[in-house]
Amino acid sequence: MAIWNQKSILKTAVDDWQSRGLIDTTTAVTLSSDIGQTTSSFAFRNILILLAVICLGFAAMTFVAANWDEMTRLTRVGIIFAAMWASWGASAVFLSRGQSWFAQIFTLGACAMFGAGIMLISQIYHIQGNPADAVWLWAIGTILAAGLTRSIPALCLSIALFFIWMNYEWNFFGRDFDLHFDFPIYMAACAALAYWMKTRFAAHLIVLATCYWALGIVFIQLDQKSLMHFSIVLGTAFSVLSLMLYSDRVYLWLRGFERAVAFYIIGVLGVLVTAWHFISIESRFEREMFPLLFDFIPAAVIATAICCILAALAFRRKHENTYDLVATAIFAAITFGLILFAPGTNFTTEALMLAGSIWIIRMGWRIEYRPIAALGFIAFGGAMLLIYFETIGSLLGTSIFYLVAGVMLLTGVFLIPRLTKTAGADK
Amino acid sequence: MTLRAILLGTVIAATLQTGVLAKIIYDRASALQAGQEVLLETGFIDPRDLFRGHYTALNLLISRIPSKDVEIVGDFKWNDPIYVELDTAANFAKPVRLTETYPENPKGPVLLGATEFSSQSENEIFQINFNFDRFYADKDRAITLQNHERERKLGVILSVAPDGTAMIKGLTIDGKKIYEEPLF
Repeated sequence: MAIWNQKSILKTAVDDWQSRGLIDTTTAVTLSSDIGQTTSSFAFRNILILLAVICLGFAAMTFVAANWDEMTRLTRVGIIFAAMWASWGASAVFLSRGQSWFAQIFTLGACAMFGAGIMLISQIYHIQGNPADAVWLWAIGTILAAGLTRSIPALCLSIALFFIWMNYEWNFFGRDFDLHFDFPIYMAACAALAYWMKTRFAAHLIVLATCYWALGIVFIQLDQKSLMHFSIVLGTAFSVLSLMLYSDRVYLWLRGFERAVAFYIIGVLGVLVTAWHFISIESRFEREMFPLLFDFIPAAVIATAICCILAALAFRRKHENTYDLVATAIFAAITFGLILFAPGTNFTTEALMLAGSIWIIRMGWRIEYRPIAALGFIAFGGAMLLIYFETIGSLLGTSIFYLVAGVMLLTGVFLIPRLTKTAGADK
Repeated sequence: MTLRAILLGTVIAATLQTGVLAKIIYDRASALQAGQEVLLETGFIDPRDLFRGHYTALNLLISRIPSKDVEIVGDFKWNDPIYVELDTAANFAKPVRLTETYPENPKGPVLLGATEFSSQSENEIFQINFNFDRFYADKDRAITLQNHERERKLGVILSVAPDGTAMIKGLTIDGKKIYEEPLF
């Protein structure tokens, strides 16, 4: 358990328990000394070494980019080879001494040198090809090394490289795109390694990169007047959210990472609903869009069915997250219903956003995951601002805005503390 | 995973990565040695690459081919491979035919590129990306090469492999070879 960054929280809790007489002085001293032992300055030294190796990697890359001609080509290539083997050697030495973290960091260094080698060789020998292919080769070499040596920093580097590779191929200002449907396959491979190595940091990177890719293909396809990917990503997001809530607290298929995935998925849903709002209020686009709404039907049916099945299973098995699973199914049905049957209708998506943000706050409290509650507050504020900017054009609209804002705030003042108390009682 | 397995993994990973880098150098040297030599007219522009620093982009004349000047065989979409058959009778090689697949019995060398933009209508320009459109150099040298642009008598010598891939073998100005690519 990564306890070092929670030292002050634990110490404060122990002091509080002692002052309130919940634990005696002997227990308090024992607990405090245990917290002190678990925490050490060694962890910070690890971070410094990691940062140093990252700096060395950047030094190698900028050495390559400098096109320094004072050395012969073979000497420059030799330096990169020597640096790579020195890093691998250091990794092996630390590993044999049982210092696994240092070994992992030096694997990262070796992989950085491998990338510098690819760039240097392609530069000095004018081997070009597609620049993205060089990044892809670097990413493949790095993920293999990460898997072979069980190095978490190298795995994180490979995720970053796949991300750069995917963006290299995306030209948001061009006419044609490669949507990179192979990107999730690489992320799945990275996820398998992250699961094996039990690294949450890499898992966060993977989920973030995958969400970025999913939103990217939605917006690229929107630009080309297609809603197919929008519907698939929206349906997948609702389904994954339900799966995460179902796994949370009981099955823990992702070893407790479910809540973090739910957080990112809610972010994706927020972006998609907001995007739909802007699409549907633009009448120019709406007219063209009506026939495209049929694209939503398969995703709507499948996603709502998955959410309903999981909610029903949760209800039957008295799952602790039944309430949120039922709410997810209802929100999935409402969202797809509004898209299919009320596109362009005023205040429907705004109402969905407001209701959704309150549900997210509630969910965050219920499952005791503050980032989700914070996301709900941000979504609430965003929805209110959106309504404000859309009604500011007319006095009547502005008046309605103030009325709604007032009612919402009063509701918030009286309802949110009650929700909090109820959440406390639910625990 | 045991210590021994990870150590073995370390050796395998290091060897694999070294092998990949060595293969890139070997493949390039073999292709440079064995390929057919072709001279193309070009200009230079000095930009910068994220990872590899300064280079001069070769403003190759055959990257923009007017459709009326060549025979076009096939229908080209973005990023499709495109084979450019060359006529080497003049000082600089000129394109004569564009095909989707490697042409049968070509009269001259054939270059492989990727379609950037294509149109079958008259007076349209075929835009083609080639994998030899960059010459890496330090900043001063890149700018010097760029300044030769106005004279428009710059040439790039290519070594063309039998499958149409090509790599830079040298540079010329007014027919004089100013740079020859060493094998290693």
